[in-house]
Amino acid sequence: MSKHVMKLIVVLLAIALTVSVALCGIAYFDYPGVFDQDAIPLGLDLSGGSLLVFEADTKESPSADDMNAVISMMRSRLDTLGYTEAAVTKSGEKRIQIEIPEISDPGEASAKLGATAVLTFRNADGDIVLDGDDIAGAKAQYGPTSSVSGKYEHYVSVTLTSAAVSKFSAATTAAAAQSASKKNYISIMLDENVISQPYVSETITSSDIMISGSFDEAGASYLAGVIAAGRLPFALKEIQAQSLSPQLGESALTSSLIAGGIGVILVMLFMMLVYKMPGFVTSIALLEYTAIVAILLVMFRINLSLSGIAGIVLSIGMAVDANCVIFERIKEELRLGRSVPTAVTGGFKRAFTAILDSNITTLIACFVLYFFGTGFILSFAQTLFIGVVVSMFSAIVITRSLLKLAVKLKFNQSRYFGVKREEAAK
Amino acid sequence: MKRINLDTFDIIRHKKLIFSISIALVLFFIASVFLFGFNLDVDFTGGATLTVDFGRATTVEDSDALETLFKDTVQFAPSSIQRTGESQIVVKSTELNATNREALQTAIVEKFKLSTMEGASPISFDNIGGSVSKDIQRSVILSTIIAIVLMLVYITFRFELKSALAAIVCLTLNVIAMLLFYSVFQISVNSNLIACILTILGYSINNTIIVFDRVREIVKSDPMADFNQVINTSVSKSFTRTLNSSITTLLTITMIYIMGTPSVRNFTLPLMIGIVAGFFTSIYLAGPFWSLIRSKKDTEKTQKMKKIKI
Repeated sequence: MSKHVMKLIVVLLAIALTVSVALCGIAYFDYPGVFDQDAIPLGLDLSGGSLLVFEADTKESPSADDMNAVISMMRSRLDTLGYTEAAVTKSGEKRIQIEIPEISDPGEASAKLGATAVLTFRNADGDIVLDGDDIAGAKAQYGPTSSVSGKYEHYVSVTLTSAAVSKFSAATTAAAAQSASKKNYISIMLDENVISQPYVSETITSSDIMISGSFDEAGASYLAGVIAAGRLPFALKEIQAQSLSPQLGESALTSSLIAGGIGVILVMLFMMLVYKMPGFVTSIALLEYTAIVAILLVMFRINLSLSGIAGIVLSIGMAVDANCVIFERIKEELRLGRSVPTAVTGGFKRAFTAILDSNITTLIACFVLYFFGTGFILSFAQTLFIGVVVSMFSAIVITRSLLKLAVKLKFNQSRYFGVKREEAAK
Repeated sequence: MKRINLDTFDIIRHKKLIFSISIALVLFFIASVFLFGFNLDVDFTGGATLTVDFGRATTVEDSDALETLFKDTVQFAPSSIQRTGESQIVVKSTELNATNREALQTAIVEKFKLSTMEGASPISFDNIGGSVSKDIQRSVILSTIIAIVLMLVYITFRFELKSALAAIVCLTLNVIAMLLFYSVFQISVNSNLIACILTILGYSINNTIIVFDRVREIVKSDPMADFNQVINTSVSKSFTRTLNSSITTLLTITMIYIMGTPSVRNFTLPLMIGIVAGFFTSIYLAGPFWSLIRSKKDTEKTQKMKKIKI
């Protein structure tokens, strides 16, 4: 077997491998295939669900600490409502965006999430001993919690206002006295939910309280956030609420995928019809291109929305475009009377600057979208970016190596490139 | 089959016609903006959109009943009500607060006996406050301008300033063609538009660059060549490639258009228009326009060279 046949087999095997990884994933690494459930996170327009955006109702920009407190508070409320899959993100300086997948009726959630946080410290009988106004601040910290053991732990340090110190000392005295009946605790409550229930062993007279007890880092900062939320200097206003029924989204995804598949097959047929042998090479490269894009989408967990699908379709167009540029150049070289191997090398060389410049301008658009866009625009920018980069790789590396191998394997007559012999001889 | 002889593809000769068509397009656009305006979606105006999926074909009675129900429930009339797709009715109004949305949801499901499967609702809401819609507007304008300026810088760096200007004129015309379409057919203008515009910017600049790349190559090998002739040759040589790649891109997008849901259609149709417009501007406008703004300096240069020769 000749060296070139071996090479061709290696290249084709590599392509087959990527395609199968894209389809089936790698079970050993728990890496999912593209069609596996949850392999690619779907945007709200595809999965169905609700989007809520709240804005801090204040003129000045709220501090980062305050916004983090809002995020903690939202998480707490979402968990209480049972929306454990919801995503809470900060958007801009004073906005919080909440995405709740698969719930297309955000009415109730919206009212509850947007309510002003009510933080209370209560004793075992449910009497309020402190409220949000008594808290000056809360921070998650890491250090020794007991002077005896000196053990380092995550804990939450709460600072009380000076007026609250005496109230809290009275409450802790009362609580500590009840240690016999195990009612010596103070409940920290947000709205009507118990967030934490630390036990009190002695009267606390300082303005700094330490709440400790098997916290990890996330747990401590979460509690600190919730406590801080009780003293937020602003209310939250709902400024956007969107809900999409999942049936709508599902049919949009399926139909777009089928349409995309048919579209790609049509493109392959068109390329083979117009460019003959190189068109066939393009079809193989296109298969590999689709597989690589699918793998990257899964790898980077790109949030796919309808606009993302549009980005992919567009980048397929661009991948094919690079091939058209190259093949037209090769044809031209052939018509100038060059031999097939020279024409192929020359075609790629001459097409390179055009492909580079045109792709870079598209990438510029991608970057601008990525930095200025939000939500579904982001999805579009990401898929288009991946698509454009992979399409350059596909045209410059895959198509070229396959085409060069094909030429070495005796596909070296100009008619395979759609140029008639008399034209070439001209 | 009769073949067009590409070597004699004289585009410069038709430049008056090309420029007239371009100017006419711009005039049409201005007229259309004044006559029809745009069908701005809540993304841009702020307000609420309510989409009810009946799960069956809708009738005029449904839409009238829905309008009355809306009025009775929230105590104000919707700004528009429209039957779209096969089974949907879209109601637009000013902003709806959470209480109103909840009330509408219950009332509509009850009145039309719509099925609600586990958590799935036949009703979709989109409620956008004024501050958000302003931000969306700003991001559309800002990102388009920034993208265009950055492309201009890149093309100037790789080619020359005048080619960049020509490319930008083409891009603008493409976007105008798209917007004209949005305006005439009253397609709802929402955040999708920004994705469409930037797609078309990115795509049609490709075509233009392919032509300019030829120009750059020919001028490099033969600096004395007549610029108009260079443009003609470059356009002829890029013609097949531009046609083929526009066809392949249209193939996939058309399939998605044919098989897609209404929301996807709204997205793909302007893209198709943009790609067709991109084909025409890159082939017929980009080269002649570059030659137009370059010609004076170019002629002087060539004449000087010729004098030296004599």
